[in-house]
Amino acid sequence: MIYDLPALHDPVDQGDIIDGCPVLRISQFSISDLLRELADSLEIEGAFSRVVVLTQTCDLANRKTTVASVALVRDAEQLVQQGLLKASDVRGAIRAGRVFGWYFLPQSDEHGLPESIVDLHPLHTVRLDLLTALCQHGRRRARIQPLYREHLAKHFADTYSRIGLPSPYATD
Amino acid sequence: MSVALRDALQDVELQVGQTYGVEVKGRWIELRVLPDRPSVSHEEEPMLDPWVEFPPPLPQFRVRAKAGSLVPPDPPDLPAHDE
Repeated sequence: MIYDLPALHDPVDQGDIIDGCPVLRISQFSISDLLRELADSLEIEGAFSRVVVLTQTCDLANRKTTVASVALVRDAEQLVQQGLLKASDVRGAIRAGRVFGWYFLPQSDEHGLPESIVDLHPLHTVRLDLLTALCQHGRRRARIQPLYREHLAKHFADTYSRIGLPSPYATD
Repeated sequence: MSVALRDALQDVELQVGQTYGVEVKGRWIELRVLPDRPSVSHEEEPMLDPWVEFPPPLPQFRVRAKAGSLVPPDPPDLPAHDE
């Protein structure tokens, strides 16, 4: 199976799906303040979100890093209901891994996970001790198993290493 | 294959294994007749760029920023012979 659920006190690892992670974004700013390096007008908003850990196991092992890169895990059905995607997109190109930056995760009743899409476009850096605390308090839903998580990592790498040409070469 | 093309070929006598060529509107069309439906590998299909940006999750809290200092980077793990 693609998922398993590690013990509560297992360290955070690549492919962990964790609920309740605060994900922040700048919602308001003033350019005049920014130019003077003043934070007064900066407003940050956030949501407690389901995320997947992208940082590689080798970097997380032995706590070589104090932060982890995560991506949002979006409920595919909700995206369809919002009119952002068609169900056929999810079942077709996205599930086949043919859309850069969107990675399909299958449903798992056992782990309470609906069909989901990992959105690899906005990435977030989160303190590792925060993720560890969430895991230790039962907010880790599952862990994507080896091979599948490497498949996700490959898609992540492909998304950021691709080179798009302004226009395709002309053919005779 | 589009429905129109399928309809157009409906009454044409086609032999399995044969390749037919015909010029239509100045373009040369080649038609191969395979014994079985070819398997479609998604690996061979082109990758697509996303066509929409997902909106951020609905905000559950807002905070005002305070000026701070940059956190130093995590030290890299260099092999002993590189130090």
